[in-house]
Amino acid sequence: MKSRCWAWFGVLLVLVACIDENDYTIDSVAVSPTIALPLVSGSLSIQELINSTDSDYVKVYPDDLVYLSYSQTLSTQGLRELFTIPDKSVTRSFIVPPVTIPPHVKDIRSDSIVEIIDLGLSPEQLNEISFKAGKINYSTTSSKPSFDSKYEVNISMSGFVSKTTGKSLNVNISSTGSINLSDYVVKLNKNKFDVKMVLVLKKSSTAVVVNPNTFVSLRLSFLGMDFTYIKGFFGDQTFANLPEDALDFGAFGSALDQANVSFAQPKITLEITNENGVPCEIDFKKFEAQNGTNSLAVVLNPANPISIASPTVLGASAKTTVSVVNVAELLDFAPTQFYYKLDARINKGLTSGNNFLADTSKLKVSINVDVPLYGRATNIFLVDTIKIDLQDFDQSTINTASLKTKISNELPLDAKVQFYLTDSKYKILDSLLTTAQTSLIKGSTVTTSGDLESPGVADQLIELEKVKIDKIFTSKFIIVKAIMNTSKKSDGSFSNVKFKSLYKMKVDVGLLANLKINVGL
Amino acid sequence: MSNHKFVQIICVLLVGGFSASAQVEGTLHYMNDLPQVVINNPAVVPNYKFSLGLPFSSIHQGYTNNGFSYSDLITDKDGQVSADLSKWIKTLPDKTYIAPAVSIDLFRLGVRINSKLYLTANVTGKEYGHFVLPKQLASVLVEGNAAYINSTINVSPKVETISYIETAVGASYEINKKLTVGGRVKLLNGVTSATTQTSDITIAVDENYYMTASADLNLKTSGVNSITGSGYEVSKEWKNYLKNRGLGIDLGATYRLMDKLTLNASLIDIGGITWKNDLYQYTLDKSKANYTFSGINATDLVNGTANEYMDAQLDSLKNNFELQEGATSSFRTALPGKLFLGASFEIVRNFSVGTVFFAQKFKDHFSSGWTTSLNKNFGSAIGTSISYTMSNNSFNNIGAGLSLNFAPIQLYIVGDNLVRIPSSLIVHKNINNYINTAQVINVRLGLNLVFGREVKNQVKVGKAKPVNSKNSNTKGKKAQQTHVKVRQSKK
Repeated sequence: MKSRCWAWFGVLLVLVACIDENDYTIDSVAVSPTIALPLVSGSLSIQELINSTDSDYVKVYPDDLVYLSYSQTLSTQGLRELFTIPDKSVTRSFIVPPVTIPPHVKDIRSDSIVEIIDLGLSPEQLNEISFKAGKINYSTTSSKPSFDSKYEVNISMSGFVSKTTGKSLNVNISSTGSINLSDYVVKLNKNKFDVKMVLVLKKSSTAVVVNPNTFVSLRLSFLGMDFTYIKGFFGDQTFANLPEDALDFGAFGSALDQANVSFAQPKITLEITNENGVPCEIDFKKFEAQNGTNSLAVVLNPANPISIASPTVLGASAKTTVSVVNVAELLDFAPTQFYYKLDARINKGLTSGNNFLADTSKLKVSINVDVPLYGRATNIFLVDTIKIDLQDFDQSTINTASLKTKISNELPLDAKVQFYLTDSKYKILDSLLTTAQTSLIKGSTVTTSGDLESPGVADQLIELEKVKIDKIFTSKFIIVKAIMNTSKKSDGSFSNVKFKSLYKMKVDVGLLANLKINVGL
Repeated sequence: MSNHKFVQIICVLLVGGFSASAQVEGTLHYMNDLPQVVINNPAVVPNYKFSLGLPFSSIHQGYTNNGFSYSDLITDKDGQVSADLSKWIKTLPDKTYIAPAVSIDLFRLGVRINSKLYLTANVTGKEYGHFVLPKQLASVLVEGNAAYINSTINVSPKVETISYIETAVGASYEINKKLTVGGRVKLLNGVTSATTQTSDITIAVDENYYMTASADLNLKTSGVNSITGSGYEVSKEWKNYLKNRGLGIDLGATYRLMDKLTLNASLIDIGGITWKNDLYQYTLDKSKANYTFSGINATDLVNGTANEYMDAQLDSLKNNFELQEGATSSFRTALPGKLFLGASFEIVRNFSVGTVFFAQKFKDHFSSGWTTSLNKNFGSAIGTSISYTMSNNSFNNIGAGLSLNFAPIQLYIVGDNLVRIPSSLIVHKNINNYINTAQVINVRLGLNLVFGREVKNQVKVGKAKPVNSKNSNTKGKKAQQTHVKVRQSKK
């Protein structure tokens, strides 16, 4: 029996031995799938299509029309720098007659000397200064040293009132010293104020003998005076050669460099804010839009020079709005920046007035540019560069490839898109699409008022040539270049179109590729 | 229902069923020398009055695949073997059913009690597997998804595996000279089970190539989780398997329609197992397990945040399709029930032709096949069978059976697709051609202890005849009459 059992197992062993294992050693696996893969999808609004640098300037009118709003201060001029208070000094002497003065229990005051000090400003005629800095240096000397300890000088300036105590300045001084003026407001009479000086013989219990030829000298120096505000009449003055400046205008980056653009309702305004309580006139010596080496003058309304309003109380401000007349012409010019140079004149033709200014008062000139996206444009270029590195991939694995693009576009903008394959030095090796394949985006149709009528739909399966596919694998960069035009009317002519914030471009891009994969095991 | 309509239905069942998967042994059906013949029909009585099978005395290994053979997968060019998956895909039906099966007798006993009653008992370990591979799943992996634009791809794999110990007692009883009935009751102890209660996994591809995956999956298992865990010891765990109990029955009958023509029918493995041990389920909830990939978001592309977007998408995909594991309640699985309908005709003594249509229902899947065999006994020592089977979309199955009856030792081998082994050996000097083209492989082999060979040459199929009768019809008739007399005298 055992032998028969073994016979069965023997048969099995023989059968196993009759298997050629080579059949079951798989050298490779071959598949050739055709894959349909979504690459990109989603909806893009006008805000997302405008480059990120400019997206901060994208705003929307209540009627949903998108506009670009730029606002920049052209000039901030502090007129106070134009007003300085000069240093002033005065010296006076008191002659003391040669007598013997008996003992006295009270000070003995001389007759007063009143000195009128003129700050010497012209054409300004100030009547009030609030100091924030400044001092009075003083010194007294007598002709007989033995007399030095026997006197003082009283100084009183009724125009100088302490901002803290409300009292006028009145001090006895001797020898040398200094009085701080930062706490004082001075009332002037056309730049002038009074100083009253009195020699004081100090009380004495013994008799005081005054020798012949005795006198006392006093010197007062007003130094380093600076103001918090000044009031008065500042005179008819022109401030020429204020610093020039330029405003960069990058609404569309370089996209409009070669574009032919026409905006239907652009607005540019100047807003002048005056914190100085003085009638002022601004004279733009040069105000122009620049594009490279070309320039175009900005025409203003009211015309240059422009009288601007002034505040009636200290600390307030007044605004003056000036329109730019040739806005459309300026924007069609596609400026890259606005350049300006201006003078300012105060109290033009006036001989009196109540002016004021604070040390913080400014004269601000701002430009506001509102560009509603309503108009027409051709040859708008958008270019982007994408770095690629597919050298590790086997290009032979792709038999065929097609791009499936379905773009439903509510924006009135046609676009032809091309993908340029370049080497590491941006030398173009080939373009990915044939010319006939580049019309990827079809603009929407619009009504006569430029509003959306129906979206443009471009649904295409774009077969890529094998030779071009192969070049993708050897390229270092892909330059994506789009040339865009606003939608045309049915007769082929351009009309003004509107870009509204609710308009979307729904993008679906997919890849349909047949692969040939052979994996060695 | 008209006859015409009935014929149409039968044709659909036959042709359709042949393309599906069944785990049935067709050639065994008429190998009456073998005690294991009762597996297909409990009414059949083997040719020996007493038979005994010891542990591992009968081993059956089956594999069916209605979709492809190995040669459909590979291409051999100048000795370089490559897996040509594109070629493979073309051969697949809509659903490929791969069904392995194993059964091992731990004990088998057959005893003829008297001329009418034959009793059997067996303890058998069984394992049935049933894996469903949708063609679209293979197709999308191999051919890509382009063919499914604007449609939905069904990628729902299904699995149904059970392993259990069957302890059965059966009986065959001769009602009258024409009709014999049999039955078997089986106590079942489940060992392991894995079943996809729900499997609905799809990928939809729309016109813009957006791909939307969604899944509704519930895979329940019993006896699997603890085995794969640490610290598992059979000696400690085996009692837990006794919780998985079930009951099954087999029913069968033979009917001698004419002198040499006998019909047979049986229903096998009617029943199921309730699983209670080590229950786990693995689920994907359809409310969460869905995801649409529509490419890189255009806004992120414009803003230069495409990488961040893709990272977020991958996280989302991973989270949505994270398989949830958890304990579950008991569940019940049915046995792969089988139906046999056959007829045999005795051409001459010891030489008959038989045919059997079989069908199987496993889970929700119905499959069928058909076997025709020629059965020849060379005396009492050698029993042979050669068969042809159509099953599992496979039509090249020439089976064979051989039993060497050197009582009390009986060695045997039987299978539905064995004959091409020697032919392959002769032609190709190896059996690779056989293996590479086989979609149906089942073989049963073993050793029985048998005693008391019956004097008839075909159990219940045709009239019993004395073993030593000659091949003349006249003498055969005499022998039949003699045998009837003997039976009558016993009564």
